[in-house]
Parts: sequence; C-alpha cells; structure tokens
Amino acid sequence: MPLKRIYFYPLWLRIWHWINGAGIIILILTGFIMHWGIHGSVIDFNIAVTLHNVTGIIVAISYFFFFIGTLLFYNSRYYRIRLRGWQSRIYKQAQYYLYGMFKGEKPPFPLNERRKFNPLQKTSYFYVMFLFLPLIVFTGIGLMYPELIIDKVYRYNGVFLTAMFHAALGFILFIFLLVHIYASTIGYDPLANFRSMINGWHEIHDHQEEGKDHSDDDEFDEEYPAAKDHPTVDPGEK
Amino acid sequence: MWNLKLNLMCLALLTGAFSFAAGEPVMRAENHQCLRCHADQTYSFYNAWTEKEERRVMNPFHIIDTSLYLNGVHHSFSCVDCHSMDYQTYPHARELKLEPLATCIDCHGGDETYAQYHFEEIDADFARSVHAVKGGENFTCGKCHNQHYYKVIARNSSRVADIVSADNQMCLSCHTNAIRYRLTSVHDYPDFNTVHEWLPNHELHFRSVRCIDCHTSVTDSLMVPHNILAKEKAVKNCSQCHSSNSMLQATLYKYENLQARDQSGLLGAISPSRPYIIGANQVPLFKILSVSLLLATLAGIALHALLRVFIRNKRD
Repeated sequence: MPLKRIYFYPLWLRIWHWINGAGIIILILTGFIMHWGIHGSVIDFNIAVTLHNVTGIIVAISYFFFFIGTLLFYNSRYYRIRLRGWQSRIYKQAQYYLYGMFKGEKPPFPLNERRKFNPLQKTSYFYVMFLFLPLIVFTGIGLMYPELIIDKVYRYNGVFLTAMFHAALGFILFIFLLVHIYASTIGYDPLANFRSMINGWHEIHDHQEEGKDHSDDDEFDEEYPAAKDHPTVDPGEK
Repeated sequence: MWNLKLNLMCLALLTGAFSFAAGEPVMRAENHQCLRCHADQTYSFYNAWTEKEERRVMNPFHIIDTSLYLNGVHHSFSCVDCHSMDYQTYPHARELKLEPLATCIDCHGGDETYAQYHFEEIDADFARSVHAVKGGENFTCGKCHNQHYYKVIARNSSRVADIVSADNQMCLSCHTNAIRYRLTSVHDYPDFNTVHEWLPNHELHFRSVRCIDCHTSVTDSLMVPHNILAKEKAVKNCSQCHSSNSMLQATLYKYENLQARDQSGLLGAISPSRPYIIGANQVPLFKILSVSLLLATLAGIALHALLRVFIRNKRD
C-alpha cells in the first residue's frame, strides 16, 4: 500500500500524452518508411506519406494544447531547471541508474509534490518538449509548405537541409522514445508508471523517501506551499 | 459584292454563336478577312503594273494555323489589336512591315491581373540572359513564346512530360532550325546533336528534363527561370542533379507540392501524387551515425534490463 499518492497527471495531460504517444509512434514508423524509401511493407508507401502528414498535423495541434496547458497550469514549474548544481545532480542521477540501483541504493531524487521529475528526466523532457518537438513541428510545416523555406544556405538548398534536419530530429525523438518507454518500467514495479499515466496518481512508497536529497527542491521555495494550484496529495493509509 | 460580304459576315457570326454555345473558342469575325490569305499557303492580288490578278506563295512565317491560334491564350484577340489598323487595307502598304510590335511586358507589365505570372521578374531575369545580352532588343519574348499560339502549359498540365516537351519545343524551334536561329544570332549555327554528344542518354534527358534546367541558374523562386546562361556555364556535372543536394530535386519537390495545393486546396499536399520523397538515404554519414546510435541505445537498454532482472532474482 502506498504511503501517499500525488495527482501528477491531470486528465488534460494524460489525454495529450496518449494522443502524442500514439502520434509519435505512427510518425516514427511512417517516417522510417519514407526516409528509407521502403516499398511493399505493411503500410503502402503512399499511404505512409499521407498518414505521416495527417498525424503530423494532429501531433502539432496536440502539442499546441500541451504548451497552453503547461503555461496555464502548475505543470510548467516541473520543467524549471535550476542551473546551480545542475551538473552534479545529473551526475548523481546517472550514477544511480548506472550502478547505484543495482547495489540497492535509494533514488537520490525521490519524487514528491514539488518534484515530478528527477534531474535527468527534467533535462531530457525540457529539451524534447521545448526544443526538439517545436523544431520538428516547424520543419514539418516547412516541408508541407516549401515556399516558406529559405531557398539556399551557401551551396545547400533549403528543402534538402530542412528535410535532413527534420529526419535527424525525428531520429533523436525515436531514441528518446525508446529510452522513455524503458525508463518508465523503472518504478515501484515495472508497470507502476504506466498505471500512473492512466489513472493520474503517482504512488509514493515509504522506502523511496530514505536517502532523500533536497538540493533540487528549493527552486519551488517561493511558490510552495503558497501556490494554490499545486497537485492534490492523497495521504493514503498509514 | 456588298451582299456577299454581309452574308459571309452573318455566316461567320452564326458559326461563332454555335461554337460559343458549345464552349469552344471562336475566331473573331473581323479576323476572317486577314485569314483568307494568312491561313493559306498562297494569296492573290491585283498587280496594277501588269494589270493582272496574280497568285503568289505566302511567306511560311506569316501563315497562321487557326486551330493552334484558337487554342492559344490570345484566341479572343483581333489581329489589329496587336498589328497596325492599316493592315485592314489591302494590298498592305510596304512600310507596315517595319511596324514596332508590342512585347509581353507592354500589355502584361504592372498589371495585378497577371501578378501570379511574375512578368516583371521574368523580364529582369531575361535581361541577364545570354539571349538578351547577345541578341539585344532584337531578341523579343515572341522569339520563344509565339504570341499567336502560346498556351500556359507549365501551370495547367499535370504531366511533367507534357511540360518538358512544350518547354523544350520553344528552345528547339530555333536551336534545331538554322533559319530561325539566324534571325537572332550572327554566330555559326551549332548542330544541336553534336553539341550534346557528351551527354549520356541524351534522348532520355531531353524527354525528361527541360533545357532550362541545365541552361539557367535554377532558382526555385521563379517557376520558369529565364536567365539562359552562356553555353560555357551550362550544367555539365552529372552530380549536380544526380545527388542528394540537388537544386533540381528541391525545385521538383516545391513544384509538385504547390501544384497539389493548387488543385486540392491548402491541405492538398497531404497525399502524394506519386512516391517522390526528398531525403531518402541521402547522407551516408547520417546513416552510419543513426544506425550506431540506435544499436548502442538498444544494447544499453538490453544490458540494463538484464542486470535488473539478474539482481532482482539474486535478491529473491
């Protein structure tokens, strides 16, 4: 039984997450078919192109809603990176993943209502959500409406550069997705994080609280606990 | 005589009315008088000197193909809209041959109706071309774009082969015709096949690629670049087209995308008309990097997962 539960994932966020997740998977599959020019696979090439374009539009629109939702609600605070000590926190978390967890160490940055992401998560999500995704949306719009693209950059044509950049970003997001899905299995049990993303509640178990490092917490000091829209906490049964 | 003329005119108007009802372009009634001679290989006239009616051969450059004329963009024009009104008297006065004719820009320049055709940009692009520089004012638009028969094919045809053929025909009308070539050039007429001998599969190239794709500085902002370069500057490097970073490929991509949207609206480019994709396997370095990164990620995940399972089992 969990010590307490935190409502990390409100309904709007979960809807966005699963639409985005399904969309990204379709985009990666169809993107591979397009990039490698695969004919005669499960999805016909022309259908893959159409599907990629339609899904791209849906993902772009859903990203817009995520962006607005994140700005409006408490969610944006979880993405704030405090630069002081950032490197050492990343190092500490990486150490935990690489060998700490195998030696039975406790997570260095256990999650609580002030901290939804550990430093590695926060950094990777920040880059994915606020750099790579907007860039891939912009380059995708450029390829759909090529008159928007700059004609030439030195001796390279703009369409070619945009296509390469779009494909490279897609590949980075594919690698991120693989790691993201795998890292989601690192929880109280392998399916715990998947359950959280369905019912919205993240479960805190007592043993996680041990060895807690607060060096990442003070970024919310000014807002917390005065903030009115911070996530609901269910104290659970003690 | 007057009755005959009146009857002919009525007949022409009636024919015109019926054709118009059927949606076909109709020849202007007043043009029939000109076409009596200019749509024929011969013409007759009264020779006041010999006091005889005589028949002569019409200059082939002055013969109008009426069906091509009616299919052209200027089909609704009267001959004297562009030519001197004095041509209505017959035999024509000798000095009429010297009349200055209007160029495309005289009518189409600065007109918002034709903004989509970018006449001013074309004019500026053409002014830099070898045609303009070497041919001077003698090299008018009409040397390539026959005003009598001109059709908008590049924008209206959905088949690239038709566009290529129509486009190349303009170049070939002089470059495979010594007489027309000499109209604008004082240089020796170069044999078209000899100068293109170096190009492998040249027949296939001429069917698939526009002459201007190699003989202009291709910009993808202007659909049909008019800056024809000197022959020394023509593309002779195969890899300029047959490579990943090909300007031609980018132009084609843009062209097909814009055309799809013209036909099916803003989201018209969502569905491809044919399996054309820019970017497939184009940068070998990217391929090696991406495959290595993917394999390293998968190996890392597999190793991590195995370690977790192993340690969990050991603890249990």
